[in-house]
Amino acid sequence: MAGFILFAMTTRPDALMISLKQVGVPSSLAYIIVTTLQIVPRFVTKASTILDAQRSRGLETDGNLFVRSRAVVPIILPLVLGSLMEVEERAIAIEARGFNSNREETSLIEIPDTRAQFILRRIFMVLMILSIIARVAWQLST
Amino acid sequence: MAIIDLRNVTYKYPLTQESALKNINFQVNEGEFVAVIGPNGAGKSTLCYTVAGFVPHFFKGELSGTVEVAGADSSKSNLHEWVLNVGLAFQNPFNQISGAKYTVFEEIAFGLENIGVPRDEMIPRVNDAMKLTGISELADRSPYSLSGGQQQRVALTSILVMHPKVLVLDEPTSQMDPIGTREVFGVIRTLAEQGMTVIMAEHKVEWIANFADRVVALHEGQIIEDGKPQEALTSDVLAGKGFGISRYTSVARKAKETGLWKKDKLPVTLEEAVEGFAHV
Repeated sequence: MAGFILFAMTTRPDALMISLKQVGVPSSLAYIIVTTLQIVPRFVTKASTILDAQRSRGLETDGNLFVRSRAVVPIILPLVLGSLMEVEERAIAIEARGFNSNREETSLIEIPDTRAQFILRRIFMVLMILSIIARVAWQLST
Repeated sequence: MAIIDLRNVTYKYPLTQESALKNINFQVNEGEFVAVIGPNGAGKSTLCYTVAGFVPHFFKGELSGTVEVAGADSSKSNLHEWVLNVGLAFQNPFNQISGAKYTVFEEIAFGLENIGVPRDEMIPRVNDAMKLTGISELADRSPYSLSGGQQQRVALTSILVMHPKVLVLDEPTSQMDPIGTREVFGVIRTLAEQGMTVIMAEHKVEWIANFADRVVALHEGQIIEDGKPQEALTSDVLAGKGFGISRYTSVARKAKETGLWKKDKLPVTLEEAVEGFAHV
């Protein structure tokens, strides 16, 4: 989990998108993966806006566990519905910018895949497999 | 030669009873800057989407009549080919940011990547487009860290960079301050003079009066007025239907009642008003 957060926070979305496409992921799927990672901080901002809006309409958010858990629905529901409504506009916007074009795509940034990176990837893969084996072996021995 | 040609266009969104556009006949010449005005729900956005190909390709629904842009018939084209000729930017800037890019520069290049523009052509095109709209200094910022007005400029630039023949703008300056609005109208005016055709849905009548070549007024899905800004914006047809009216027109109309305004024509710009009152 910590590894995933570190990855999402430190990887440039465009670089990730290009890398995904390089390994053969279709561009629409790559787009979904990348925008989902980007959406997390925006979700937090939006949730706090909704929280403020609901509070100003008299929603109780402080108190014991029961009071607080009752406040979840009036916050989650607008958050989810609002996000769904945004999808249509975003689809129009990226379509207007040729997202579904059947021309060969080009890329502004280039990611050089150096020999060192290639070797490191292999080393990490071997390390991962080794650690899984070690863990399983340890589990079996105890 | 009309680059946009709509004939007898009637359109109904799916699951609705009433047509959003009713028997629209609308021709626009190359290099013309046409402002579309009308109260909310009059069909401005639907007209924009129709010219941009999203009606009916994206929204589905029932469309009758013919829509032609640059000689191509909308019903016989694909949306992904259509967008190469017609660029669309709309009101909410936040949803126009792709969400897959780290900087404004890359955001603007997104469309060019999709349509396969080579990298060494892409960089000067993005630079030129940013210079044109005055956002060069935002190049390295994150698109999400910008103000609404700045985001609207990024959205506009992202479309301009694709060099469309026709530019369709649906309230592109709604979140801008007066300085930003003036600059954007100025840029659009320049582009129209260079031969780009512009359709802009907009409420700000005083800006329209100063910059547009022509005004089309929509009401309940129909075109009720179409002409030069001075004539269209002061037309009696618009009265009482919720249209924005230039403050100069309102002042002169009142002045006419008391005999202070002596001309036949009512003003829509500050200059016209000053000139008219100069003889008093």
